[in-house]
Amino acid sequence: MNTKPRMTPAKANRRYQTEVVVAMVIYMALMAAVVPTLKTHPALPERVTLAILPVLPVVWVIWAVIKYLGRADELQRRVHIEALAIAAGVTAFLSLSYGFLEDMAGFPHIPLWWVFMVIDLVWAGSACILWRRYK
Amino acid sequence: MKNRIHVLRAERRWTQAELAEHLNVSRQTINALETEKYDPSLQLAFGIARLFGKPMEEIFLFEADQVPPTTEG
Repeated sequence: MNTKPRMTPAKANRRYQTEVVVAMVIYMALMAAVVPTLKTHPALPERVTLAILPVLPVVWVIWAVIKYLGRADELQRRVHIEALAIAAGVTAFLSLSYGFLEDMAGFPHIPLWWVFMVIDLVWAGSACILWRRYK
Repeated sequence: MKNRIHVLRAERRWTQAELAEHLNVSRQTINALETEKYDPSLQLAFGIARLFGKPMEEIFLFEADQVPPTTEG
C-alpha cells in the first residue's frame, strides 16, 4: 500500500502547469541566448554544448508530464494516454511519409526538432477532442 | 451504465468539487460520472459506495441490455 498522502488531482494539475510554464520560460531564454551566439560565432569550440543546452528544461517538462500522469485521476490518465497514443501514431506516420518524400521525391529537408512540435500539438489537440466525449 | 451519484450528492448538499475532494479525483471526473459518460474503475466504484454508505448495486444500475451474454448449456 502507498502510505504517502496523495496530492489532489487539482493540485497536481496546478503544479504541472507551473512547472511547464517555468521550464518553457527557461527554454525560451536559453534559445534567445544560444541562437544569436552560435550564428555570430559559428566556430566556437563549445558549439555542441551550447546547441544542446536548451533541451535541459525540456527534460524537466518530460519529468513533469510523467509526475502528472502518476498523480492524475483515472479519467484524466485515460484521456492523456489515449491522446499520447494518437500523437505517437500520427507523428510516426507523418515523419515516415515525409522522410520518403524527402529521400525519393526531392522535398525540402525539415529539421528533426519538428517531431517534438508535431507530437506536442497532436497530443494537445487530441486531448481537447477526447475530453469533449466526457462533457 | 446508469448511476445515482448525482442524487446521492444532492442529498448531502455537496458540490461536484466537494465530492471530487472526498474521492480524490478531479471535478471533471465527477461530472463525467454523473452524466453517465464514464464508468468508474472497480476501485473508484467501491470508494463511491463506501463514501455514501450504500451497497454498489444501489448506486450503479445495470440494465438488461448491458449484461454480457452468458453461454447456455
